[in-house]
Amino acid sequence: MAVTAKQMVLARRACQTLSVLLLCYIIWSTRYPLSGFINPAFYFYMDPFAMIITSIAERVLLTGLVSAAAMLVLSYAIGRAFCGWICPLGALLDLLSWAASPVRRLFRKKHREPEPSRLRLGKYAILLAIFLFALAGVQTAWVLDPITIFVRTFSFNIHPFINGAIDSGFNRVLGATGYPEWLEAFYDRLRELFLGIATPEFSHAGVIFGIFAAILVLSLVRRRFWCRYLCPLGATLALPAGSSPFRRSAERCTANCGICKNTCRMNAIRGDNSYIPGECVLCLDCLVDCPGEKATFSFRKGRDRAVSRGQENEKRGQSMAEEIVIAIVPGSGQASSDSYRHCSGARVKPGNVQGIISGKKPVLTRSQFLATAIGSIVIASGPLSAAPAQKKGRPGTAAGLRPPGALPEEDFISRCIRCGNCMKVCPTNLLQPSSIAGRPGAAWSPVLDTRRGYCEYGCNLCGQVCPTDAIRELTLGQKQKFQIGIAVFDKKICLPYAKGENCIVCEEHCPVPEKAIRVKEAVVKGKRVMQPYVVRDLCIGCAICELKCPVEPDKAIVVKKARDAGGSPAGPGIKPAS
Amino acid sequence: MLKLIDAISRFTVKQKAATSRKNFLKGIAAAIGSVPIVKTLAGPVLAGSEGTLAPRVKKGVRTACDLAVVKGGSPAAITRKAIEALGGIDRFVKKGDTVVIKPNIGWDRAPEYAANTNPEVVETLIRLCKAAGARRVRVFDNSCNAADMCYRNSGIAAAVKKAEGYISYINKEKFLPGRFPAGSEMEDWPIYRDAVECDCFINVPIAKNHGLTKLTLSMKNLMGVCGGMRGRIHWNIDKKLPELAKFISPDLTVIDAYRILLRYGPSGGDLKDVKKTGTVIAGTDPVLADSYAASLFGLSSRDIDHIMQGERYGLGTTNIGLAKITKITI
Repeated sequence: MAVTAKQMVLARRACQTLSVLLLCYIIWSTRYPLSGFINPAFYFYMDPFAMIITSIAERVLLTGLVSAAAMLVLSYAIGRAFCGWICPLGALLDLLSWAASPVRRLFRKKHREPEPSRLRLGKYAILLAIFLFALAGVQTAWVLDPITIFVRTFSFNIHPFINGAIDSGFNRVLGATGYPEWLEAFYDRLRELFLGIATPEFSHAGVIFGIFAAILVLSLVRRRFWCRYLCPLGATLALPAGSSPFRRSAERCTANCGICKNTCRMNAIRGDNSYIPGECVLCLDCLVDCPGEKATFSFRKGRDRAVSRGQENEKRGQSMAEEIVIAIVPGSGQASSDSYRHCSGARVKPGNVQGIISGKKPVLTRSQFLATAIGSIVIASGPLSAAPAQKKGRPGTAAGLRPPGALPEEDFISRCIRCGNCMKVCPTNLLQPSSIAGRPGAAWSPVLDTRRGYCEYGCNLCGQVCPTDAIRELTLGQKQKFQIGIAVFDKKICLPYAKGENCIVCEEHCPVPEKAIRVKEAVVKGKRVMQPYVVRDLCIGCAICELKCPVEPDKAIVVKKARDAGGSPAGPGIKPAS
Repeated sequence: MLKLIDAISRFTVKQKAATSRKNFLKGIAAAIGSVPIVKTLAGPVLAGSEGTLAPRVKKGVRTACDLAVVKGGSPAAITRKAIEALGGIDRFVKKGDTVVIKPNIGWDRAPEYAANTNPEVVETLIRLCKAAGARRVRVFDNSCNAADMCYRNSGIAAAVKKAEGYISYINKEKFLPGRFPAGSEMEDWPIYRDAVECDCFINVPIAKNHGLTKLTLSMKNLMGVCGGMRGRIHWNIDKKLPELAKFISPDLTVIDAYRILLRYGPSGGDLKDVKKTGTVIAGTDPVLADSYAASLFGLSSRDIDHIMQGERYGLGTTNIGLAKITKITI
């Protein structure tokens, strides 16, 4: 059975598009109520790098290891197809370099020295470093895992941006048109089903976006720069893929025109027409663009390394015989004489000619493009510089509280891969990425910002979406007994204590059925008031009292870690049933 | 640099050639810009133009009795009967009216916990209003817990949709400072536009325990139309609630006491604190309705300061003995 390469390339693009859309859908619907269609941890289970490194660092067997192993087997079977066909970040880079190709063409040198393929070892070095850290018990996979980077950036930047733009757009139109009923009804349904009731906001989103943007920009320098030289997940998959029996062969090629080498987004094809199997992501461009339609992908019996080392011609007859039937061959029919034209020049050195694939005329010349780009940057920098600076200081995170069900602090930091799922799903926007400044090793792990939200009593979603069980999956009953921290009154500013005025908003909001905040009558400054106090055994530290406390700017009730709250030294955990 | 200059000059040359086209485009842009909507969108939104909200004016509806108290096993039936005893919903709702029903959807709790208004009571009221010809029956509450969880788990969102009412989520842009009497502690408090801009306002609280005010009844339920830092309403709440009730002036008050929460209110969470009384109280006088509801808890209006303040403020009477109360048991 033979499939034409053109069909396969179309299938690949469809697959990549679907993969990006699916992941975007999953992240978008990572909110209350969790639809349950696909668990938000799904893509992380396909990520052997994150799963294996986390397992090693934490010395645990994660459930995701099974699917991670399956991905490694798949990589051995057919190579790094994940990178070329499924990886959402890779797909995004492909899209970007395709969109930017008219621009890049403007800046191409006439002749280019082939890039040393030794650079590819960079990603193995990164993988090795992360692996060594993991052996030492420190999980650093979160810094450079591509799935994490994609999910994190989408959750912290792209989703709030799109959601906020739609939200404020509707509000502008509604305000200007006097809230017409049909439009308002539409907006309300949209909020209910698609937008969420409130647009979330996240701290440190700028830095998180910066990493993502850097990866995108690098792909403008070299296509898939990230995947070629940096991606540790790519390196993980390249290890088994390097010895895969499914291989490209170009033995029938005699012209050695260099088009495939130029067209390869991974720099996997050498000047002598051999290739590096661990680098190939099976994009199949080299088959489609081959003017002579000489290259194929096929399974071989026996892993003959020599084949990949450019000695095809000697082995030719033998290898041909060993080809197994499943093969992807170039499209039949029009053997484009058009393409041949590009490599017909006698003085052309193979592999060094740029612009060999497409003869399209550029839309703008290089200088016109530069003028436009500089001009628009100058124009855009006006409003950007006028943007308000980020609010400084986050008193709500000072206590360093962790989500309900979180592992003990050190384990938690090591287990958490900073994917942002818990923060995305949190219905009150309570969970926020922690600061890089405080403790770099704990950067972006979820921390409670008790001035922004509170832990909703009837919600246990963060544990359900965590791919590495850094936040354990608690039942609602367990979660409602899990002590995140303990609320502590500041009697110097609490109104009933300080001024003798009734308030007890904290008591009103306390969600514990028998109230962890109770009141006693007292006389202050000659006035009878109800003074609130915390029942420590009942308090779960949900912090709704802190958020709703009307005393500002310093709140009269603050939730602290149990050990910081004085009294019993117990850490966070599920309280014994009372 | 030379190349840059070259590029710019090339652009200008091109533009000169296209002068007529440019003018044409300019004309079109000017035409679009003159459309009022675009103008408003381009400028700062609502730059204080609509400013403030005036108080609602209460409808002077004469009812068959001062208060209807109906007991029975079905929330829908007793609600229907109570409205009937007052003389029917037609006295309040006219054809084409926009009606606001304000239940308590404050907490992420199921109906059995008696923290939110019974969804069947809300549903029945919507059906009655719809039958009387109401164009739109809007239901909302500025909830204390996350709105989507409260709306869903209270069963009210589903009930409203079933009765073809309009369940609306609070939009922060729609709070405007209310024109309370000068010197009032509620002066300029942000009030939800929809609560005031309607033809009929029906207040549908649930009767339950509350730490600060002892009970939360109809007047306290109106805190759900307020924005801002609502905790501050708690400061001197007994004066503020009557002012708020005066501002909103509900045309009809229907207190759901089908289940009442006796302790650990207003959110509760334990079924042993819930008592099933199977009662609905309806009337136009919020003070009278609240006074009667207090008796279900074994309290008198004298025990609850904001009800007494309400009477002093002229909102109604606390004298249950003198009022004409129709009691029905189904």
